[in-house]
Amino acid sequence: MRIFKLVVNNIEEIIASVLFCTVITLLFIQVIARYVFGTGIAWSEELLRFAFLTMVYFAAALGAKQGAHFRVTLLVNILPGKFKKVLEIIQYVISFAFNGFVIYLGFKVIYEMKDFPQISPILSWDMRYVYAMVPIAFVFVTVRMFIRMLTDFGIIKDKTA
Amino acid sequence: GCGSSSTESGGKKETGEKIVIKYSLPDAAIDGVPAYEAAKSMKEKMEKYSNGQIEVKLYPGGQLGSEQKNVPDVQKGIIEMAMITAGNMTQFSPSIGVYDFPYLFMSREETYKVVDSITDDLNELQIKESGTRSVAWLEQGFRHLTNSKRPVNSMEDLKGLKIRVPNNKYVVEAFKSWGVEPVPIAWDETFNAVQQKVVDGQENPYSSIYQSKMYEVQSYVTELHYKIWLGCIIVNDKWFQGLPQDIQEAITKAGQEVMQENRDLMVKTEADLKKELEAKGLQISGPPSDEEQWMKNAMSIWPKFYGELPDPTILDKAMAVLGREKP
Amino acid sequence: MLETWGIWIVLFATLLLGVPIYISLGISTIFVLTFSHIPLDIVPLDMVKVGDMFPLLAIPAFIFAGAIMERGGMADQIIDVAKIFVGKIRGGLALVTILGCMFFAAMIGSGPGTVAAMGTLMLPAMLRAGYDKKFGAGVCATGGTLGILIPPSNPMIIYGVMANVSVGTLFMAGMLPGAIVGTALMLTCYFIARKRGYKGMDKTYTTKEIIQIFRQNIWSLMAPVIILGGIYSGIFTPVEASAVACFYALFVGRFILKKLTLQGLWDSIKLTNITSGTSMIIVGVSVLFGRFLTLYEVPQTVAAAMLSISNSPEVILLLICLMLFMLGMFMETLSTIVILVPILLPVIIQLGIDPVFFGILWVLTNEVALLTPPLGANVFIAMTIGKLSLEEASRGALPFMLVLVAITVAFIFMPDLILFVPRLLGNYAG
Ligand code: NA
Ligand code: NA
Repeated sequence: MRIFKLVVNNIEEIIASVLFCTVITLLFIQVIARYVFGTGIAWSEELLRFAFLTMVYFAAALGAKQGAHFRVTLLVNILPGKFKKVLEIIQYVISFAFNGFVIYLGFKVIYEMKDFPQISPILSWDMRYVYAMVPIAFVFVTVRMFIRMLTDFGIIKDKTA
Repeated sequence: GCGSSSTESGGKKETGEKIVIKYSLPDAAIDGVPAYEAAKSMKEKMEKYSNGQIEVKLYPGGQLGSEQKNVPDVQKGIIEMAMITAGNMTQFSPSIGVYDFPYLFMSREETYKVVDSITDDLNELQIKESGTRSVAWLEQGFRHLTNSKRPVNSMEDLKGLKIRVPNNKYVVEAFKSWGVEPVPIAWDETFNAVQQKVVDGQENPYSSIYQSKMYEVQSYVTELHYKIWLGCIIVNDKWFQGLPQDIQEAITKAGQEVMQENRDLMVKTEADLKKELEAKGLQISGPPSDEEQWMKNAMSIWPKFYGELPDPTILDKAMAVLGREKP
Repeated sequence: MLETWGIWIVLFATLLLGVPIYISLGISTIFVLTFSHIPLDIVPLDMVKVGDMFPLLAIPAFIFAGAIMERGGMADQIIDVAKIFVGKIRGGLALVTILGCMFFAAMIGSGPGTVAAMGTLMLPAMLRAGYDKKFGAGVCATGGTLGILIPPSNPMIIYGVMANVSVGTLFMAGMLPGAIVGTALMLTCYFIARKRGYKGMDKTYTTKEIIQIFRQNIWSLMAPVIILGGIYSGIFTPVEASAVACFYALFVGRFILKKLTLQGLWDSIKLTNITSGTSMIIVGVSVLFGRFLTLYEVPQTVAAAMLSISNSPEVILLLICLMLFMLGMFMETLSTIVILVPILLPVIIQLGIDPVFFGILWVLTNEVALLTPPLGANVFIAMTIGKLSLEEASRGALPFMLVLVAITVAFIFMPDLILFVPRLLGNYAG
């Protein structure tokens, strides 16, 4: 149970770490294969791209969880406390709107790909799975943002954030 | 439009005025590059034959991204027209794989004959599989092998060379059949990879070798004839069908003429290009001495890919035109 | 018209409201898309494209390598060597810090990463020797900016990917300016130290000792040779070099120096994850933003407007640098590259300015941005290490920052100096 909780609480970090380690290991193997064994690995480039894409967006969920995303804090810093809260609400509304667009449009495009499928050129994967990584990761981004918002406004006490 | 009926929103008559066609091509905007010459001519002719109802905006040099990303753009109506090589189109329309079979064409003339006779059938398949149609098929010559290490006159010479190939499994398998594991790299990163000697060689037609200045970083050319560079100018079929009859005709007519211009240009310029590349210091050694063997090995992979063609009769039709049996 | 202006208005409004930068980029594009003929399907299609900008992986990988080098004891080794060269000069510890940063910068690609590694070791040492806290923090923060000028460099990787310029060539072009800036910073340290009466270190090295130190620290000294040498001899690409750096650092830290613990490894991975999580997503969304600008031919409009001000490359470059210095106060370096390269590059090309030279100038302005408050990543780290206020730390960095600004302006008039190395070593034709 404890392990299950640990995994759930840190799922994005685990996914991002595993992907990062996989990607640099694959790259390293690529170098070794080329210079020690004099051969390329035809499928590695494509796999690396897909893994990198997934890593980027899942790591973004981690950034949302820690509230670490880059922003311009000029106005936030000079405004008095009362306006700060209003500003925060506006920030969250805009952020949720964007996430909503990405999730909706992402799944819509994947759904529509049933008519005209795309097959990855080397590995022959159905590209819908690759495209799906963006909206799926954004579901995680949204959940983390939501938890953070509730914590920010003192509605819940969150120990994982 | 708010992205609702996506395929129809782009290129519609904007406030009752012009039909804007955004035309993306990844090739460089350099005069003499066949795909760019075709694009300029296509623009001029479409605007002329539509009596100015069409306005074409050209985006050369990959401004709007790679070929593989432009196909979904056309499918979704983000852009109206794009130039895509056959090898990159295969992942969206597997039937176009028919042009990926190594040593399908022995000459330029054979290519023209087959393209002219199967284009309508192929277009039907392409529309069904990808929602796009080709308005013209262009060629840029046979893809020759270049490298920086040594002259390649036999399959033995090829062994141990690291060769960049496009992201296409037919090409990967062909090179494997010749005893090397190639490195698939996207076109826009190829020059860097070759320049930094991450790979020793690559394969492309003379026009691409010239235009990308590949001669600065490569020394030896082997004239392989395993594959001719073919590319199509695609549009969204649903968008096309929704255009007024006269506009459709203008586009089709422009496509036909551009296709003929492209052939005239290639026949006329390729010999000059070869001379020019030799003057730049490339050592061109003709076909490998054991070409029969290359052909035999590469054609042994054909049966692997028969299953990739949704309608195998398209290959049969091509073979019938050529008067040969498939292996 | 609405499309061209609307996108900027919404972008700046949301940025000012403190919305995360990637969301500002995305929502401003979506906003104008709803008024355009371009379907919104472009949003997910373009966000997938970051997979093709795969060389960006080098950024988290160099962060990881740097973190491992710091925790695995390679940072200490570099300082031991730097002491031999400049330790005895007046203000020796400050000079050692800068030289150490130069060495370390040749292994990793990040500015803050360099401050973290060198500052953690050198700032306490300087304080123990009686240096002024502000001065020490300023030296560490500024020395750390060399992390992005001396190759490998994260901003160069981003610029290369966005501007379609060879990252390898950019790396070469950074070498000479890196050496010049490093030397200028050391001179600044020397003059300040003289004025304040800071002494050099007492230790004198015998030839035997020097040989011994070199032999002991050979593994760390070899790292830049392997990483940069590997890139230029064509053994690997810049992105592969970042993976090689990771494995080299792991190997040396664990098996040679035996200082890398499991906790150290985990901390490094966590640091890497948060860096990729916050910087890569901005690039991911910027593809969408940039394509919208291209489709609406915004860069051409901006180019025309700028060229109507002046046709002189120097004047335009001065204006651009001024703008980047100002933006650098509020914006993080990678974001300015991602947002502005698609706009400014056509102007540069039209004026016949070399894109590699322009890239290095941009990185120089980024160095300043790492120091200017309120948002200066290097100053933040230095102030945390030295337990100072932001104001104190930035005041300490001020003299060095002025030197950086002066050098940047000087380089505008000397493009050949920046392009010298790539022309010599890389057959660069520009
Ligand atoms: Na560096
Ligand atoms: Na700053």
